[in-house]
Amino acid sequence: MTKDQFMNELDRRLKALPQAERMDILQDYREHFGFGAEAGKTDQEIAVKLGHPAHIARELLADYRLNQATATTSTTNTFRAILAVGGLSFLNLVFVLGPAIGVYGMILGLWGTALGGIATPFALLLFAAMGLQTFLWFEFFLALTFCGIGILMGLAAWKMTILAKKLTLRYLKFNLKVIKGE
Amino acid sequence: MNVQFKKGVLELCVLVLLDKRDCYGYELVQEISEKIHISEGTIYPLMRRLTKDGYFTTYLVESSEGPSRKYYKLTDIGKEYLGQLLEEWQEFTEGVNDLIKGGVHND
Repeated sequence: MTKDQFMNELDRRLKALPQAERMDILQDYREHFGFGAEAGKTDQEIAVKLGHPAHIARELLADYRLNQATATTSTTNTFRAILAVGGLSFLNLVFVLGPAIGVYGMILGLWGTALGGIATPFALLLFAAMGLQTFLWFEFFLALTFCGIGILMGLAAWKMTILAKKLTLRYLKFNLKVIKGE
Repeated sequence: MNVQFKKGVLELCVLVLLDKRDCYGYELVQEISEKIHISEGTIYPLMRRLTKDGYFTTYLVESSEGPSRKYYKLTDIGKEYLGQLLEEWQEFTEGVNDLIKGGVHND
């Protein structure tokens, strides 16, 4: 790989990053090629030692996503960070994406059950109003109980979502620091 | 040495080198790759991360010949962090060495 090929490839793979940051990163590598050339190395040799631009870009992207998620802990940012860090290597696929799917799947299930419970009395009233079902007070009170349980579960799901996001970020940071990204 | 945890050690290496004196990127890469086999390109993302975390500051030095140099300087927080990492490292290597010695004796 020539210097231009390396730089272009890296540039292309860092498209998701803000312009200024991307330029700053590219400058580091341009300098590296410059010093290498001064020391009498060919571009080819320097590029081989640097490693593939894809690996470098993946790591920089994971870093960027994680910083964004830390700055604004939205669900979208958290999932982007999970994907970016999880995609770093096969090992990370196992250690990041696997647990993430498990944990967030469970929380999603809890949300679903909670919403179902909350909706029960409304569904009952709707069915009765549409004449699909005779209205029974006994059933209505039972539905209200489900609704109450649903609200409590919803609160639990909400708390768990916040906690999961916080722990996810902490784990991803640790992972990024320790696990080799290639 | 090709372990998954090399990256954590790399952080320690960079901090140790910068504790001696300010260095520019290429210099750091050369010093480390002389001793440990690494993909040289991964040092720069590491430097960015540690700079963002406040462990280093950077300054540019123009050079009459060749490209300008981006020097990294260890901050006080960086020094503190280095102390902490060194302690962990010593504890870790002592533990592993003890285990190795124990294993050899039992043979």
